[in-house]
Amino acid sequence: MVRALALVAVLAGTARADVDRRVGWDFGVGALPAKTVDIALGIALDQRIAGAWFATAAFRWHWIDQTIAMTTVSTAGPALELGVRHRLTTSHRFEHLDLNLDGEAGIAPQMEAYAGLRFGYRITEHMGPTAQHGFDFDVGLRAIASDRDAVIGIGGMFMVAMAWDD
Amino acid sequence: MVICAAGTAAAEDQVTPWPRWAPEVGFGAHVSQIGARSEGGVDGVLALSLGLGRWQLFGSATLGTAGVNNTATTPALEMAVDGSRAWFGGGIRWLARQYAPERDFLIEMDLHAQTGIERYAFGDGTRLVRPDVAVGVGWDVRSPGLHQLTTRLDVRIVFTPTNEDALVACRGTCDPHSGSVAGLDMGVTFAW
Repeated sequence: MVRALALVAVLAGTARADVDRRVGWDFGVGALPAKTVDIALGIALDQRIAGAWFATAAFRWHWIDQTIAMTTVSTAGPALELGVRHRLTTSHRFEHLDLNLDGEAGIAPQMEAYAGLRFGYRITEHMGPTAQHGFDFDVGLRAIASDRDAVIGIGGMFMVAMAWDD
Repeated sequence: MVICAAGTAAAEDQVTPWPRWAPEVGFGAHVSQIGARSEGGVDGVLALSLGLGRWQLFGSATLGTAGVNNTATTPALEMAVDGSRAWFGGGIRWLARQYAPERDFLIEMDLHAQTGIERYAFGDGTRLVRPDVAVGVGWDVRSPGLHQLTTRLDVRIVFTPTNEDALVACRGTCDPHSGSVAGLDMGVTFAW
């Protein structure tokens, strides 16, 4: 995990000056191992590092309900998440509207790792008074590997995300 | 790192500012904790905002339902206690990002912080008044040329202090020393 963190940091640090960056927020609902439900709200940053590759970072607040012996235990807290995203394909069929399919993978410090797919659209026209360049809306599905409470397993999360390009 | 990047990016860009005055109505939902038990309900929202460039001050009031589920501590005595929740307070909103696909159509992201007082009144006669502090994000679409008509979706994390509120609306065995954890609040509102 440390090596992966270092890799993301190095890639982010060597990004070109004219790279594409976007900032936004997302909301997710998921089911994790050990009878755990996870609701997450986060602020996310994507930074293009090369071609179709992006480094990603997110600060996310999690609300977690875990059922233990017929009793639900609720906890909440923040988490930092680091990862990479790769644009798999883009459709330019519609004017000013790109349809994108991305793959993503990453880690979180609480011993979780994820891999998933994102489908979304991006409005790229900028005719208005602002100098900003695009708006993205994505829906995503993640598989999450976790060792929560020593129970190693795979869960999933559905996410809705929106982002503004710089 | 994420928050710093959000704050520094596009700082020099020219943006269409918030409207000077903007009344706002809508509805929302909240989930929180009272002691170790989950609480949730739906709310009506009324607000008034004052725009100052990229910043906006707002005051808001909500009135809605509240329900406490006691299954967290007493699974053998599954009982819900219903009631009402009133909240009023104020805060500040910052226009973090703005995108204008058309001159009169803006898609915006805000970051906001607010504080207020909430009052619960449950059907069993118990009451609870407590302060809260919240931080959150919002997404809106706004039409400056059409009376600043705005449709907004807000989501925020709500922090309430730890105290002895665990005995409010308690059924069965409730732990009076259990503290509150952060709740979630969201709303869909319309401003003009």
